[in-house]
Amino acid sequence: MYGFGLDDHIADYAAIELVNGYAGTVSFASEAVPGLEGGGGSPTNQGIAVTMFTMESGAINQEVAASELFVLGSFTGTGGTINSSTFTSKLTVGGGGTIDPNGATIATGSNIPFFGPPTGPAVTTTVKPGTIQFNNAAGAAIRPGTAEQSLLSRQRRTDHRTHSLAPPRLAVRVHRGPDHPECHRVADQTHLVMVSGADQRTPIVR
Amino acid sequence: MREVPATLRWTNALGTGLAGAYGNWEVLVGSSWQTAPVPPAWGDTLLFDGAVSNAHCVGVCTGSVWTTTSRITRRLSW
Repeated sequence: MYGFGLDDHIADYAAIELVNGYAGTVSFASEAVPGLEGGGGSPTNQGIAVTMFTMESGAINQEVAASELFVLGSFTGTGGTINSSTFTSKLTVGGGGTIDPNGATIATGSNIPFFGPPTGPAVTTTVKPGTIQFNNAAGAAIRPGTAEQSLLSRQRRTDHRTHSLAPPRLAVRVHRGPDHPECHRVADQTHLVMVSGADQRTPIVR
Repeated sequence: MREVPATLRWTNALGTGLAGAYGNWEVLVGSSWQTAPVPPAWGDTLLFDGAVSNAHCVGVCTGSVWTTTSRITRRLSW
């Protein structure tokens, strides 16, 4: 998959949708390759931006650097694998949406930062019951002041490898990544982070 | 040539798995799907529909193509 060398806040595509049981893999190329309008390689051009991303099945592959996916609008994930590679990339959600594993499992090999104010609009991402399996060294980060953060803050008091964030009953199963970071911050803000750890616990840090 | 943005769906009709090959895509024209004359362009909607194809897709937009709208004509190179 390839963008057009645009800054990451400009959508390369209106939408990318993996639907109706699509069972293939869509591979993203590196946006670092120079493209239209002189893009490529800059800190603000690390991947492909889309207005809407829908993933019901199949997989995306982000196995190279600068193959991040920026969802400027809504993200709907009800199945499939976000980044089936062993390279830890990123799926940034700026417009809210829904993650609904339907009681099953959605796997991700990419970090999933959710951005709201002050860097993004006030939006809500609803996570419904099921399992989000973080592979590689991936995790999820949510800006402070959101309902999701409250859930995670409560969860912080219980420090298990598998978290039950109730309600809803979200199980976050973390697999050890190749570099085994026990915890880290995704950005320089006070994000909450869930990452794979070297021990049997999954630290959640501020 | 085609209007952009448009809605394209992945067919892998050429069997190459290459998204830059426009023959692997269909474009929605009115209510019917037609073989795309050019690969995906800026602003398009891309569908990977399991009812049409489950083939892997690698490297969207490799190559060079002219795209035209009613107001702009630009060369897309990548």
